[in-house]
Amino acid sequence: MAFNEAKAQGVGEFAYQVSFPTGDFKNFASKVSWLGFSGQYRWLLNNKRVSVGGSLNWFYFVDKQGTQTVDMGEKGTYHGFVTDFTNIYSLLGVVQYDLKDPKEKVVPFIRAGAGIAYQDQRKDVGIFEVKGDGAQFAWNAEIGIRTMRQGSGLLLALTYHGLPKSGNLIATSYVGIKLGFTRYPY
Amino acid sequence: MGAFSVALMLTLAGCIPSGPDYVSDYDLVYTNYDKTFDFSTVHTYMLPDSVVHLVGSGQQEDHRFDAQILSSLETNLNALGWTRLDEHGGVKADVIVLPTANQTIYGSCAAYCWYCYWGWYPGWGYYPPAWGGGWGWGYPTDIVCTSYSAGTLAVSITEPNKADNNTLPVAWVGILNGLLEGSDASINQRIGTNINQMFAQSPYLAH
Repeated sequence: MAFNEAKAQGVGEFAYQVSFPTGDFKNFASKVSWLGFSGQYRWLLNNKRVSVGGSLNWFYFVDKQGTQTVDMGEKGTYHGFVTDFTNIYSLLGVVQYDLKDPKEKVVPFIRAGAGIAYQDQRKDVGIFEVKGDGAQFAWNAEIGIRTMRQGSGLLLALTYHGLPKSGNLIATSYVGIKLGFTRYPY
Repeated sequence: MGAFSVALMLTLAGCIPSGPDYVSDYDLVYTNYDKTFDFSTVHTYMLPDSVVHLVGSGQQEDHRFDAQILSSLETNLNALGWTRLDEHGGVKADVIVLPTANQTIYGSCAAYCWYCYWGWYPGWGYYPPAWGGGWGWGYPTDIVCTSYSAGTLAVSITEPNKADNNTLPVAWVGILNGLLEGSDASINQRIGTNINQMFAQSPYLAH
């Protein structure tokens, strides 16, 4: 009964995100990412301020760094046109807490997620490509605000995404501004 | 769940960047060297008057750019203060510079087989016959080997006086890779520029 009630109280969301690399990730891609989308679905718990669910996210970063001469130490020196890019796919479990009664027209919220990501980092130099791909732990934190009217609303949020270094994948982190559409059952 | 499906489709799509704008942006110059080799001991060199071309069976060798390659190499080697010796002069050189080119795809450095093309080096009787068909390349252990496609020029500075155990030591290697697109004049210009870059990014050669 509790499950059926929760199932009926689902919240859908789809959002576009502009992202800004931070930390060591800036050495790989320093430019703003204009391509990022996320979709998620959460269930409201008995405490209607709390909802849990999952999100599927995709972010794309590219940085055409131009012609560079790079000294790799023992591995030699190369000179060529360098383009770094990566596609990040993540599947996260998400929990959200509304800071006000969720039925109000304007509701601030905080959100956290954790899960797994697959990242495909590539460095093109001339016609050669160095590829590093694999799975990473992924987490994110978010603070935002949403407006509601007749079950539909818009949300604006500031997010942070972190993917610790794993294997040959460099540590990846970025902050983002998310603009999305959400649908509530009330 | 509709939005979720859209997100799923977008996620699976992925993205790749558009390529560089100019053919020259595909050029890659790579250099590496034996860290134990003292280049300050080099005063003389030999440079063959031909470029070895590694081609597959049935493929034509393309010698259009040999003159540019050899000329650019000689200019840069002389600029190091090294003196070119004639292979017929009877005097041993400190190093021998061997340019090798190919326009096919090779899997790794192991594909290089200059001794298979021995006939390209007439007059090298001073060192052979010790260099027979069983000799191979001796690259620094940390050399990066990868597949080569399009046009690749590999220039090796070898140590003939330290040849041992059927291996010709390589003290320095410069690899230029690029697309063979455009007019002969523009390709020659790129070859010259990139050979200059090989030496510019190897300041340890100068003494």
